[in-house]
This record gives sequence, structure tokens and C-alpha cells, in this order.
Amino acid sequence: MPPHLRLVIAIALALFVQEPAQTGAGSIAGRVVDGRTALPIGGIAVQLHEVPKESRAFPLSDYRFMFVNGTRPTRGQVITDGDGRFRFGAVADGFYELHVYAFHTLSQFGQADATDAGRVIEISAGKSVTGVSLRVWHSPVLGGRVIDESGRPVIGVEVAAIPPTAVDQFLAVATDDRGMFAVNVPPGDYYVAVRPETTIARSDALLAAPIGRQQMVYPITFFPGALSIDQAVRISVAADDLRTGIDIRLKPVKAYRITGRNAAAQSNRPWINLVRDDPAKGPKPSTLTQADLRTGQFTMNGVPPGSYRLRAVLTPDMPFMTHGTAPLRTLSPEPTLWVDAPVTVSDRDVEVRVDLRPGFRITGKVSFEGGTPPTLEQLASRAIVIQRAIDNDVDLRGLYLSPSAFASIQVPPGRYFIRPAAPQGWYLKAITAGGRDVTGSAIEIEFADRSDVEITFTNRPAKIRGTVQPALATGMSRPFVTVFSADRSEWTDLGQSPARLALIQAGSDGTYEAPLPPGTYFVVATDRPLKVPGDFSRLSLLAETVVLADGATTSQNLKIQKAAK
Amino acid sequence: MNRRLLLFTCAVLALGWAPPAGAPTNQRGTPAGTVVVSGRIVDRVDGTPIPFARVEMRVGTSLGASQLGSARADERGEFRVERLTAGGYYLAVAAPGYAVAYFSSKGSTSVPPGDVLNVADNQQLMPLEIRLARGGVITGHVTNQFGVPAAGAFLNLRQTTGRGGPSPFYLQQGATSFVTDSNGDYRLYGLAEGEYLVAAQMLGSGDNLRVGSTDAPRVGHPRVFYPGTTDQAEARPVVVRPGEERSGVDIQLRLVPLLSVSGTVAVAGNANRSELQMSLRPVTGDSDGSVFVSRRNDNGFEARDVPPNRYWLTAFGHEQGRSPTERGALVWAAIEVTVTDRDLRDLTIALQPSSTLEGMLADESGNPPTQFSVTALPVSRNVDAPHPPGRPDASGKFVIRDLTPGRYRLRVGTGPNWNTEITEVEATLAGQTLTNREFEIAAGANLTGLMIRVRK
Repeated sequence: MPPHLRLVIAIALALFVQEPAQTGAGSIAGRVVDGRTALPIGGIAVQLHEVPKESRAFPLSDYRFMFVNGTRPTRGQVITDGDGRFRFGAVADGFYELHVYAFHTLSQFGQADATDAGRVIEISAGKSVTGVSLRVWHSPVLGGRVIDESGRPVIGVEVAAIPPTAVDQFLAVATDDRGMFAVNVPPGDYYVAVRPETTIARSDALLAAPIGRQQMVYPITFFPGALSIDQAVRISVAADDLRTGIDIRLKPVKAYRITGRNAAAQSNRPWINLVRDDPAKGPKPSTLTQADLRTGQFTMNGVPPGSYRLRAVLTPDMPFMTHGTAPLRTLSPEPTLWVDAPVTVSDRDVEVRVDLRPGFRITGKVSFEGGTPPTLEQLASRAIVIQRAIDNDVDLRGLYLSPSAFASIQVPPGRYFIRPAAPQGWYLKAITAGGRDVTGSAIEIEFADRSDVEITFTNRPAKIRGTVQPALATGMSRPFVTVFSADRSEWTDLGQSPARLALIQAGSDGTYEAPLPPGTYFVVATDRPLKVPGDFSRLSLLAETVVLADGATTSQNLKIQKAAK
Repeated sequence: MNRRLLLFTCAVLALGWAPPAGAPTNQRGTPAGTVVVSGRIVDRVDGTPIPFARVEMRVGTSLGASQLGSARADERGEFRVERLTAGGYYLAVAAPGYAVAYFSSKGSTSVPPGDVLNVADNQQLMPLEIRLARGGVITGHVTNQFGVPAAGAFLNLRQTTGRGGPSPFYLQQGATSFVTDSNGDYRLYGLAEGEYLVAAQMLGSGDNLRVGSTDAPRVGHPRVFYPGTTDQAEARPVVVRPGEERSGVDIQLRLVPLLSVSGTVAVAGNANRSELQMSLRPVTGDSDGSVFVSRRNDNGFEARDVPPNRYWLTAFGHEQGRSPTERGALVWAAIEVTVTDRDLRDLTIALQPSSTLEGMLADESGNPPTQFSVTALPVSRNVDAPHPPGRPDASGKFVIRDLTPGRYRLRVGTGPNWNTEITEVEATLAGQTLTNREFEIAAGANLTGLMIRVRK
């Protein structure tokens, strides 16, 4: 099929379309055209989004995805007719964006090219805006074929397109019965990797024919045939690119067996994981395989030579966690058993002895400044999440013992972010450990309990507010305000929900506001969402520095800066 | 993190491909028995061994019934499932590019779940030979109502022949549900030989679709069967032979108006109106096309967002019993309605009395086997209403009440479980033997003179 026929249509990505009733007198009408050929596109869904009047802050977990997955509220949806035309009637006064979602690609009104920021349209005094042209680009496609050492297709193996700047945010597909794959991606740079390991992780290695009695497996292989991401070739794709011929030949490598012995342990999560020793160098899961510790012995088959760690964290029973909010009801006296041991596989099977050891508790004080502390009952619905800095794979939690004390279950040694959920009406002011401020950084647990952690909440938070200039008008991009810690050491280790970070979409009147723990921050307004934390270094030069003081509101007006694409 | 996982999961699910889930040895936590099942997996055509196929053994036929053993074949196609406890197992085998095969007493079959493989403790079973057939492939192109390639359309595949019973296995090598790629193309592979209906549908694009303008009437995306019909009865089956590729199974989607069907139920006698249950179900095809019918207290009803089609509009309820806790006889109504391009208003459907079936149950020596009950299982009918089984009295006489018109099959058993069905049964109605123990009930008719003889 010629590339110009490859059309993109909003589908599952536009799943959660809400549609508040429109009551205004205005209208917006126009046409959807192919960004490259300018030909109209019929039958494509166009969504109208209102830029909210008030500023809104987003958690990091939502922010990263909200601009590609189409879950933001919309003011309506129209399918274009055969000539690509659409019309939104009864549009109230305000600022609007027009979106078309496709395979991981968002086209917006006003873009000069597929990577440009979208622009807004203003409806005022019930006016009608007609003749809007909404250009839509096809998402690039990376395609190829996976074959084995004898040239046969490898069927059903996972192929991932991995952005070099965010190796964990890959998009994956499986090969078909011809070994072929095609993955739609946003424009950008990618490594392409075949990941037989995703099947190994289910204790089912992608086996190759053995040589004699030597077991062979197919290892993770990066295009054009590299076994490490360092030697992988970057593929750069722009909108409308159909890149084929990304053919990868898998070559079997010798594989060995790790057998282990341990003191039999009972747990709901009795798993021991074999993880690559350097997870930063490849996409997750870095877990190659998993075994059960309950019987006191385990076997891991099909492990290629390399440096690994055997990791296990056997926690006591905890309430089922949804959305990271399930608080503990009681503090289990049971130990958390753990192991984190290096293991190297070179040219033979390996036998290991796994010593499970109890972990260490994090305990400390809790204080509430500015009013009567909440009752223990009010605190009982709030979770304290103990987030491991190296990964997000283990569920560790704490709870409020009283309005003035907290404790965690035992945790293995390591670096952790303490993420306490604030009770209604309270804001996190600071977390310290041994007198050192760790609000925006991780604490170190060595081989001992740690009882010097203090969590302070306030009911009068420090706040930043201001106005973004110039004022929003038709043809401009909706402004985003990012407030991030001025302490560079807090950029590299953000954790899942950084306390010293506010990601704000400014209101249509240009105002923004956010509560934050007191401290020194950079604040910057940009014409598009930032890459967090990738853009921090460059934008810190353009940002204003603000010092937020306890209980005080700091005003800072901002000029919109151009963010990187 | 969660969202990334979600995206990833979607990608895999969308491909309808389940990553291999076997294990080289017994599953963890399996109670260790002494039975070993071993065998060899070969290509059905040339008999060559198929390496690294996955073997799963399960008990029971519900999807995901507990897996009690699994193995991975070696490079010679040989497998061994060890430490099984004695019992009856279903066994399935999957290999990339092949259709899933199930153990059968005659070898292997592509019809799930196959036959039960019975094993006893310390029994030395002969090695099995499981023959796999190359999977068939169906490919095609899906366009929208304007002929533009439809990316992300969901494909639905249903087999019309050799479908067999429910499969307890997750094993599935090819894809039976799939979305089109950004060209609007799809490829369904690893298919067992047979006859398939292929349908495409845009899902998840919101329920408030309008073409061209927010002032246009609302439309919906119906499921469209190859070669281009929303009526399953007009769908053209695609025949796939082992290893065969059927290309050009192209489908053009369409948008249809969404209409309203409303009216009143004429409630006869003392039927309890608040208890009435209604449905609007396509005359052909399955219940996927059913539309929710909302009811008002004044006997009014309305179904919204109804795509054009022929439907059975049905209602049923019960008359009030003699006491508040007792339910009276079933009353029912059914009319066929055709929705074209406009709303249907002021329909009236009238409730009618249900039918009864009276009969006698006896064993070979003429004694009444009172431990049995007799159930009438619907074969085809329009009103999907429940009715209690008939329980014979001391003389063997039984009555099945609350029957609505349609065709039924008699089932004699000791409980609700299929396994307790007694098949050595002869049923006669007014002296005539019933083929397959099936009988028909017409509207308003009551049947008497049924005689059922059970052979022990």
C-alpha cells in the first residue's frame, strides 16, 4: 500500500470521551486534511477541547501520558464527512484546541509540522470561526522481520521500539506468522530490539536448538544485531515515514542453569528475580526470570552469560494496592525477608546459596503545624508509600501509628523515597532524616533500623502563583508552567511522585497557582509540556528562581518560553 | 509506570497473542503425583518433529480451569509432564505457526477441548503422538464508510464449523481477535481449519458520534461481517484449510443511525408489572447485538440507540401468587420488529399465559424413579424466561410450568450438573417417539401425555 493511503483514525485512544453539554452561541467549522498531501480525510474523529479557565496541576504519572492518550475531557467529538468537514455548534465563549488522535500520535490545530505545539482558537461574544484547517500526520512506522540463525521466521516474539532518552517507555508489538512486525511510534529516535526475554520472564526461555547437551537461547538483540544497547543503531523517523527493512537475525548463545538453595520461606510474594545488573542499559523488564522460594530450592533455566543480581523481597501480607493508595490496617510484626546478591554466569551452570535476611524498619515522628492535628481515624485512610529508588517493582508501605508517629514494614537496605499521603486539608511541608532535608530526595537505609525520620504537614502551605504573558489569543499555544527544585541533585532521582515538582496547565486567563513544600525552585512557562526531567537543565537557564516560604504565597509572573520538541 | 504497562499490555492484547506460559517442568505448587505423560509432537502432513511446542494439561472445561501440568517439548518434539496425580485431563498443544491441537482418543483434534485423558497412579502410559496442522491465515483490508483505510478496527472471528465445546485452555498461537494496523490491514493466523465468519467493528470511539456536525443525528458503528453486512445471517463464511492463506477478506465499515423503539406492555390479569423483564435481541446472530430496554412504572418501555435490524422484542414476568412470597405463573410477550430509518413509537405488546408440559417418568420396570428431575432445555425460542424443572410425584407424574413457545430438549438428571444427565432415556409424546428427545410448544398450547422411560 502506498504511504499516502496510510491513514490514521482516532480509535481506542479516544476511549473516554466525555461530552458536557454545550450551551454557547459560537461555532467552529473546518476541514481535516492530510498534513502532507493536503487532501481531505473523511471519517476521522475530531475532538474539541476547552482550555480550562482555572489552572490545573497534574501528578507526574498522568502528565507524561495525558498528551498522547486522549483521556482529557473534551467538549465534543465529530466524525468528518466525506469531504473531511466538521462543525462544532453551540460552543460557549472560551479557548479551544482541536485534536485528532492516532496511533501514539496527536495532531492538533495550528501545528506547522507533526512535532509542533498545537494552537488555540478563541470564541468570544458567540462568534463563529469557519475555514479552520486541521492538518493530520501519519504516525511513523518501524517495520521489519525477525528470523533465526537458519533464516526461519521467529513467530510471536516481542519487538520493542525504545526511545533512547526513556528506555522504559517503549512501544511493543509481536511478530506475526511470517516473523514480520510493524510498530507505530511518535516521530523521534528509536532503538529496535527483539525481546525474547519477555518470554523468559515467564520462566519459559525462547529456546534454540541445543548443541549436543549445551542449552542455547536467543538473547535480547538490538537492530542491526547487537547484544547490547551501546552497539545498537538509532533509527530516526519523522511523521509519514514508513521505515521497513529493520530485519533482525537472532543468534543463539550458550545458556546455563542457576540452581539455588534457601531456607524455605512462606509469603504471598515468594519470588526471587534474576535481574540484569545494569538495568539502565536496556528496557525493562530487566527481570530475566523468576523462581519460587517456598520449597527451599529453585532452578532458573536458560540464562545467557552475564552479570546479574538475584533479588527477592518477601513482604508480610498487605491490603491489595490500587492506585497506590491502600493504607495498612496494622503494622505486621512479621519480618520482610530479602536478598540482593550478585551472580555471574560465564561458561558453566551456577549453584548459589540464598540467605534470606530480615529487613529494617523506618520509623519517625509526624507533626502537624498550624492547627489541631487530624485524628488517627482520619489518618487511617492515608497510605505511606516507601518507594524504592532503583525501581518500582516492590510494594513497601508504612502507616500512621498515631497523629505523631509513623512506622514502615521492614524494608531491605537501599535508597527510598518516603511518600506520605496528606490528610484532607493538610499539605506536606518537609521530610527530614537525621536532620537532613529529604523532601525531594531519597533516604538511605543501611543495615539498621532508621528512626530519625520526621514528616511535617502544614495547613498553611507555601504557594506560588502568577500570570503568564503574553495573554492567550487565537494562534498561540496553551501555556504550561513547571515548578521544579533548584537543587540539581533532585533532578536525577525524581521517583514516581516527586514532592518538589508542580506540573501545571495555566488557566485560559494566564494565571497559575500551586502549593509546594517550602524551598527554592525554578519556575518556567513553556508553550508545550516539558520533558521531565530532560528539559530541566536547559530551561533552568531561562527559568525564574523563587524562594517559597512556609505559609506564604509568592507571586511570580512569567513569559512563555519555547520548549524543545 | 502503570500507564506504560497499560500501553504495553494493550499492544500485546491487541495482537491477541498470549506469550508462552508453560514451564519446562511441573508448575510450581503442583501436588506431586506419580503419573508421567509423555509424547511427541509432529507435523500432521510430513510427520517431522515440531520443536519447543507447549503442552498444557487441565482438569475441567471452564476457561482457565486449574492447570495441573505443563511442559515444553524439546528440540526433537518430545515432551514429558511429570508428577501428575491420577485423574482425567484435557491436554492441549501449541506451537508457533500451527493451530492449537487437543488430545483425542483418535489421536489429536483441532476441536476444543478434545477428549479426556484418564491416568491412574503408577500407570505406564504409552507415549502420545500429537499431530499439529499448520495454522491457516486470513488477511484483509478494512476501510471506513468513505473508503479511507480504517486503522484500529477490531476484528472478530467466529468458527461456524467444528467449533466444539468450551476450551479450558488459554493456549492460543494465532490471533482470533485483532486490530487493523495503520494501513487498515489485518492478518489473523494460526487458525484451525474450518469455516469462519469475519467481522470488523470500530470500538471505543465514544457513544456520541455524529457525522459532519454536532447538530447531525447520532450514529453508531455496527459490527460489519464480511463481505459487508450487519446481519450475521447474510455473512459469507471464509473456509480455511490447514496452512492456507485466504487474502482479500476486505470489509467496509459503515455508520448507522441510532433509533428509538418505545411503546407499552399490555399487562393482563394480575401480573406484577414492576417485575417485568424486557429485551430487544436481533432475530439472527447472537446476543451481542442486544439493546437494553428501560421500563417505566406505567408499563411504558423504551430502547435507545437501536441500530437498524430485525429484532425480537420480548417481555416476561409472573402473575402475583396467592401470598406475597409466592410467585404465580409466568406470562410472556414477543413480537418481531424491524427497525429501518426511523424511531418506532407506540408499540404495544400483550402478555400471554405460558404453557405447561405434563408427563410421566418411569424406569424399565415401570417404577417411578423419584430421585430424578426433568428439565426442558431450550433449543430455540424467543423469550428467554426461566422455568423450574419438573419433579415427579410418588406416581411418577410431573409437570413443567412456565414454558414459552419454542423448541426444547428433555433432560433427565439428578442435579444441575451436566455430568449427572441420564442419557439412556426414551421419550414418547402421544405415542410418538421424540427424536433427540426434542419437542415443540406453540403459543397458548399445553402438552400432555409425555411418557419418559429411563433405562438404568
